[in-house]
Amino acid sequence: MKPKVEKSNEKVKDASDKDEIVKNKIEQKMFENIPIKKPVIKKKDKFDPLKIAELIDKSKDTKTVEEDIEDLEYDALDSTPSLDNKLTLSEEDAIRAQFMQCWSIPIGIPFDDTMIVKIKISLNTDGSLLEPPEVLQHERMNKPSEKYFRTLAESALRAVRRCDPIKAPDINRYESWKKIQLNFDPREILRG
Amino acid sequence: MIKKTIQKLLFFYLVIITNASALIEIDITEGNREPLPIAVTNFFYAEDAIKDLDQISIDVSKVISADLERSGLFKSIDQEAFIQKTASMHIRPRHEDWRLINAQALVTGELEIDKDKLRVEFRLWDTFAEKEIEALVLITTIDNWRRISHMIADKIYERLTGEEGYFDTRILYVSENGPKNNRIKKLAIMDQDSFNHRYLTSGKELVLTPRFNPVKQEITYLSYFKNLPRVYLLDIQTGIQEVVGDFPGMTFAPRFSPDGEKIIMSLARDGNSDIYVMDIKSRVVERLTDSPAIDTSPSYSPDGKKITFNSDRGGSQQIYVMDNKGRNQTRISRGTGNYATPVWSPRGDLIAFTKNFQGRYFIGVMRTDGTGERLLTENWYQEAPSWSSNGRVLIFYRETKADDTGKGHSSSLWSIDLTGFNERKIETPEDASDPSWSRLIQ
Repeated sequence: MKPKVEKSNEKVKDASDKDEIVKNKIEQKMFENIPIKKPVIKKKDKFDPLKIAELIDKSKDTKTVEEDIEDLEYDALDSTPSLDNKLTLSEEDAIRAQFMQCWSIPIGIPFDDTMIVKIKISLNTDGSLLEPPEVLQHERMNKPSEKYFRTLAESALRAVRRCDPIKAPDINRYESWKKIQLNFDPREILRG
Repeated sequence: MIKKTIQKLLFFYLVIITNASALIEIDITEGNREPLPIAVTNFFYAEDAIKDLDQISIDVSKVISADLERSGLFKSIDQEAFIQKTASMHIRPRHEDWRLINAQALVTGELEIDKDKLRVEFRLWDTFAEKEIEALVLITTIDNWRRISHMIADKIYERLTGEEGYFDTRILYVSENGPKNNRIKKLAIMDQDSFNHRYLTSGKELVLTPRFNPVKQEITYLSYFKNLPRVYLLDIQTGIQEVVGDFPGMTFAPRFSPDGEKIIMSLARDGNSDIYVMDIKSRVVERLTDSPAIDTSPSYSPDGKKITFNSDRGGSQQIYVMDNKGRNQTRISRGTGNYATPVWSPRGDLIAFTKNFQGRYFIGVMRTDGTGERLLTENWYQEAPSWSSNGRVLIFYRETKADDTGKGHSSSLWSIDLTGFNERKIETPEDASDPSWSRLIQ
């Protein structure tokens, strides 16, 4: 079993391996200060831009997210009487359902028991965002070693903006829902 | 009495105050499982470019889109729907235009020829946050544009899913041709998207079970020399081939250890198959199992500390795990049926296997302690799973049954992801079996 080196008759040329590929990070500073515009989509608009995607993609046979959301009628869902100004459970469920539909979970993130993103949102009476959503763990999000958390937090922020405006719950209880903390928690899904 | 009433009122008041100021928390524990819509634009180039880059501009975008779509996690938006089509979008996209067509992410790029080299600059944008989230410049020879495209797709995949991409990889397999009783088998290699296909052997000798070295562009395979199984190492960059040795009684090629310095194999000696490990440099062989049963198809864990293998010592073929010295041999598969070809995931969390139960063949995964068995796909005959570099997708081969006249038999490569969805046939010029998926090309 002594080693023996043979030249193969079938020599394989692999140009791509020999080619040196130079990689450089692009300087990002110049782009960081581009102001973030508030999404132009308003709740009262009859024109639903997200439905365009459905028209474009004729092969897609599932209902769009927004159709499902439109179907949500808070009053019809609501069987729990509200004794005070708190959101009812049904109203909470309806808000939850909207964000679930807007959230594309980055399913490649390794499971970690701390992978939960907390976002505080402030809403106008029509359900639109009053101010940019705030990730409560922003320090963790900005740590270079926390790239998985950053990806998760970014996906949650996209969900919040994509859902803007949400279908507003009962305006009489505005005080109770004008500020909400959303806990985006993919742990069960990531656990597999 | 009055005191108690005041206390009660005060308590009630405090409860109201607390409730009024409490921030409502809503847990979102599920998400939308639809593929993420992404817009991949054609890469721009200056009109006065020395070389006409029109076709490369389109092709780079196509390769990136196809890679992302094939993963099942992205949906590439039809370019016909794009509203913004000017070069300025590479510096400053109109995010509202992209949101309007439901793009959650946007890919832009620019091509340039610089001293006979192709300079590719790409940017990935989050259209809802309205910011650039990834950017990279790659410089290479012009005819290497396809590989650059895969590398860009890997960056996008990693940034948006949180795990490493697997597009800049290759698939090694056995190409088959001819009638079933006289098959010509050649080693073949191609990119994971079936392009850049080429044969590594001529087909004069039977080849079996090729496997990639996880750390370099080297493969090992089994071929017959004077009717004896001989194991080869082949450097696929230089074409230099080396004989590791003749191994009578060997039926599967060895697999490499994670550091690429050892090979692990099963050898039948005196009619009894056991697991052995060989140091490639010194050629020292060490025996790891010594049971009267058939121990075969070993595979290392990614940290090199453990080995999974297959044994019928309990009466039926089952999956076992032991440490790298052959100690603590423990059966982990518990279900009914026969289990074969266990392969440890590069992520370390799962073992993939082939299962034969009631005449059907399944490709499945289980945790490394045997719990959580999931069967991903079922068919008449299929086996030999091999992991993608990120541990999300499995490639395997599937045969179709011949009819009574012996016709209709075929063999092809398929992939499926860990969810059990996104099953796809992988195109090959001829029939195909025994796939091995490389790690990311360094």
